[in-house]
Parts: sequence; structure tokens; C-alpha cells
Amino acid sequence: MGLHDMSEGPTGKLPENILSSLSDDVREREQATTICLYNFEASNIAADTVSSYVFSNSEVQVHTIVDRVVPSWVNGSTDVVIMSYSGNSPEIDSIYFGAKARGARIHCITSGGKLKELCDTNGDDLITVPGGLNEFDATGHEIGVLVDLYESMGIKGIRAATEAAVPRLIEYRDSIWNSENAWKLAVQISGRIPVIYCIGELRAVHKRWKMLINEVIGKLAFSGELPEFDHNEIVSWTEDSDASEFFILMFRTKSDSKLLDHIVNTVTTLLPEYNLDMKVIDLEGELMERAIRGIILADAVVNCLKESE
Amino acid sequence: MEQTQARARLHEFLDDLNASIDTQIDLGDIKVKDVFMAGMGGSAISSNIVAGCCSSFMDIPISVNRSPLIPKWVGKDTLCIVSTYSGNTEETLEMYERAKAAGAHIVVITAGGKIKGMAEQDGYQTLMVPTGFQPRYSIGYMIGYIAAILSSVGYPEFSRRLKACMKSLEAYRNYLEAPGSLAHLLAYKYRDCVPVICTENKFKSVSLRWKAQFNENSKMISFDTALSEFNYFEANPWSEYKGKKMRLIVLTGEDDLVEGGTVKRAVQNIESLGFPFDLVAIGGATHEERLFRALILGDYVTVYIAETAGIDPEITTVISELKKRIREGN
Repeated sequence: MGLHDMSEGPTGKLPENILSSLSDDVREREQATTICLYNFEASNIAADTVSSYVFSNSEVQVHTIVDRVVPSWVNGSTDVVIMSYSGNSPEIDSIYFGAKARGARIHCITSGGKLKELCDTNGDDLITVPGGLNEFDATGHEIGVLVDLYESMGIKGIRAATEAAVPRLIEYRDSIWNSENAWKLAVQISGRIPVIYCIGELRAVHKRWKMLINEVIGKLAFSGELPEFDHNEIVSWTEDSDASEFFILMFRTKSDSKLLDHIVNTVTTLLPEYNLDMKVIDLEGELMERAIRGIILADAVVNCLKESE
Repeated sequence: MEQTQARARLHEFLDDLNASIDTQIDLGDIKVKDVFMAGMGGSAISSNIVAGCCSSFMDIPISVNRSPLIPKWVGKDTLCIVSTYSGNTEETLEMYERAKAAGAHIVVITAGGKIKGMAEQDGYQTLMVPTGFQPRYSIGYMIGYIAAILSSVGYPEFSRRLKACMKSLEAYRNYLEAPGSLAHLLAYKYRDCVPVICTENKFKSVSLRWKAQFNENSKMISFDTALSEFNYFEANPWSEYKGKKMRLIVLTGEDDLVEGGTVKRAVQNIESLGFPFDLVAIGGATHEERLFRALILGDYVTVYIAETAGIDPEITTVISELKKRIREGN
């Protein structure tokens, strides 16, 4: 370990990368009932994005896990998906062999490394993504192949929903990349410690912002989720004088719960009364599409920050 | 330092656990395929603590949900444990309605409120928590009741493991209450910083608790982060950080500090980068003992900070205001 070279950051091709990794000929796999989706480093952006669709649309149970331990309930009827762009995450061995020992069906998504070797050697289901990319540009490819994998495991409709969203995502990317709005936001968050909040469905959004600011800009950033925020964190934001060190970025969307939308709206109107430095951003679109919009916005703003350095 | 009512509640945590863990619950002859725990704040953290411990020995998965929306897989083979201290938490009430519509086996843990009436009307079992204190200090009952529910459907292992370390936990609590304990030391150290708690996944539930207790008891901004993400993404920015407010706390079990292990390598990495941090390594004979010691330690640290600063840990004005506005507009 130690310091490693900072990433160049994403190049803005996320929608095209999703499309290019959606296969024209998805092979059938056994119907899944429970999926353990292990995801490491930047791969957890794709994992959280795609899993948000499954949560509301499929009876298949998906557990997204970032850990080196395989739960004791994993067995021969569990599908374990191991997703690591480099294929060399330090947790790979313990997860791979842990899942193998429990008889799980193993599917690996990677560009190479140790994970590919293990998968090749043992004849497991290997899905490759193009190598040689920076890990943030790999996200689109990882979303595409994971969507196909889920579709083939019985999560029907996810591929069509993804494909339908791509043209709208391209349009959004074109409207935001290097735009005045992206530059304005970059100026607002520079020089402060950004803290990004959104609802659980948009988990990939706050993770993407945090990772990019950490990895591409080399600055601290933190994140959290609503509505849990209302039950604890909000107290400190309104009472701690250190709040002035931070800039809050809060994402809003129209979810499938009127109550949830109401709670988020109430918080976003209450917080400014405490003179907090914050910005509220609305994400539009269908389920999963709105998360990808938040990711694209992160990519665009970080690109501006990188250019301005 | 003036002792607050909150400190008395912390002392009673283990008593509350003892009072609830052996509760006999008759859920009939149900066979469940998964467990779904619905709650917010302290209730959800209680669920996380149990779920985190059980994943190493239970043969069915446990999920914790903190949103009015519930996953589509919740159904007639799901045991749904709904926890809300007040019984009026809007998000939890909606989770309850959705789980009911999905046909799940529901058990409610509460001190009263709307959900008590709803569960009675719908014929679900309700386990009652005493009234009169802040929801986050009810986790002894919450954890104890969840353990009892799991025992009643054929999973007594968590109860057994927890009871096995109760005496040791009581001794640890008594130590933390004595002057000069680790809790006093850390309270002094963290009294004027922004703590960032960094843990492996198996201590995730405790890092959530520490963060929430810094937020509510001490009124301090605090964050948590995963060790795996820290290793990969956050070491660079921490080494570049020139401010004085942010304080990294690596919280772990002593057993995870073996040479060559993930935590040890992370600690060595941080040391090589040269920025200040604290390693808080918790001893104990079992994972459950270490986890609960860490939980108790965080509670005392945050209350001591509040007491030293003359703050009442129990008062959370903005949450009351927010809840009022949510109710009014809903």
C-alpha cells in the first residue's frame, strides 16, 4: 500500500460504454433467487446503480457486499457475483474460496488479474470488461455487463430499461459536460470539504462524488444518506460551529414513495434556515437512469475541478 | 463535570438487554426464509448490530432497511421485525404497511404510539419497551428483543453468544465509568474535532453508532468510512489534508491486528503517510464481546464530551422540529 498515482478521472463516455457492453445475444443462465454481489473499489458504483433497479422490480434478493467474509447462509443455490475491475483487490482470495467452499455458483466480472485467473482455472462464469481503462471509465462497461448478467438470471426488463435510458443519458451528458452549470458547481465546492447526501436508491451517486473527489482531486469528501440523516446527523449540522468547514450537496429525486419525497423536501427547506452552505440538485428520469445522471454530473464537475487545477 | 440523565441510561443498557433477551415469544410454527428488519436511527443500528453478528452463523440472510420503500422480495416467507421506539416514526410506519401488504410475518418492537394500535388491530405480536427516555438509549431492549425473536424461530445462537459475555461487558462498563478510563481519555481527545470512524465491515454497525452518538449526544459533526475504501481512495486525501479539525479513528478488534492482515496493513500504511490518527483496538474473547465493548465505549465517550461541554445529550431540538414539519405536511 502507500500512496498510489491519482486517477486521471472519467472522460465522459459513460452512456456509450454502457451501450457498447450490452450484448446483442445474452445467454440464458439459471434463474437466481439470492445474489451476493461482492464489489470492490470503483466497481461498487456499477453494483449499487444496477441493484437499485432490482430492489423495486424483482423478487430476486440482492445483497451488495464490500467485505472479505462470505456469510454463512451462502449455499449451493446462491449466486455469488464477484466484481473487481482490476481483478486484484486484496479480498478476492478469501471471497472466491469462501464462496467455492459453500458450493455457490460463481460469476466473475473483471478485466483480468487474479480474479480472471481463478475463474479461468476453475471454469466459473467469467464476464470480461475492456482492460486498460481508468477505473472510473470502466463504470459504464461494468453497468452494461451486470445488467446483461442480471437479465440472464431472471431479472427481466432490466436490459430494456437500461437500453431505453441511454439516449436520454447521452443528451444529459452533452448538456452538462463542460457546461456553465458544471463549472459553477465546481467553483462552489472547491476549497471546502464536500459532503454529499441522497436517498438510498441513489447510493451510487454519493459514492461516485466522494470517490472522484478523493481519487482525482486528492481532497477529502464525505457522504451519507437520507432519510437516516434526519434521525441523527441533522443535529450536529445545526449545532456544531465546524459546519462552516463543509459544503453540503444534497440530491433530490422523485422516488416511489410520496412520504420519502416529502421528507427530503422538508429537510432541504429546513437546513438553509441554519445558514448552512448547501446546494440542492434535482435528478430526473426513471429508476436507475436518475442515479446514472448523478454519476455523470459528478464526472462533469470533477472534470472541471481537474482542469482548473 | 455534571452527570446527566443520559449517563444513567447508558449504565442501564446491559440491564435492559438482560431484561429482554429471554422473553418467550410464541410465533407458532412458522418457517422463514429470510429476516427483514425495518427501522430508523437507533432502532436500525440495533438491527445492524444483530445482523452483523449473525451473518457468520445463521443459514438465512438478515437485511436492515432504512427507507419507507422496501425490497420486492419481502413476502410470506419473510420474518419482518419492525422497530420504532416512539411508534410514530413515519418511515417505519410506511415500512410496516408495505411489509403487511407483502404478507410478511411481522413482529413489532415499540414503546407505544400509532404502531402499537396498528399491530393490535392487525393481530401482530408487539414487544413493549418502557417509555420515558430518548429512543437511542433503548437499544438494550431493541437488541434483546430481536435476539429473543430470532430464538423463537429457531435461531438461539446470537442470544447464547451474547449471554456468554454479559459478565465481562458489565465489568467493562464499570471500568468506563471510573475516573481515568479510556472513555474519559478519548472524550478529552475528541472534544474539539470532527471524528471520522474507520472500520472493517464487521464493525460497521458500531461505527454507525459512534457517528450517531457524536451527532446527537455531543452535537458534533462526525463521519464513518469503510477500511477497504479508505485503503484505496482516502489515504491520499488524508495525507494532503492540512487542517486540524478532522481526526481519523481506526476502530477495530485486537484480534484483527495480526501481522499481514487487512487492518494491520492499513495501520502501517497510515503510519508511513505520517498524518495523525488514533488506533482504538478493542479486546475481548469473542467477536460479540469486542463489538459490544466498542459499542459501550462510544456511548460513554460521547456523553462525557457533552457533559464536559455543559450540553444535555438528550436534547435534539432540530429533530423535534423536523418531525413536526413532516407530520404537518404529510
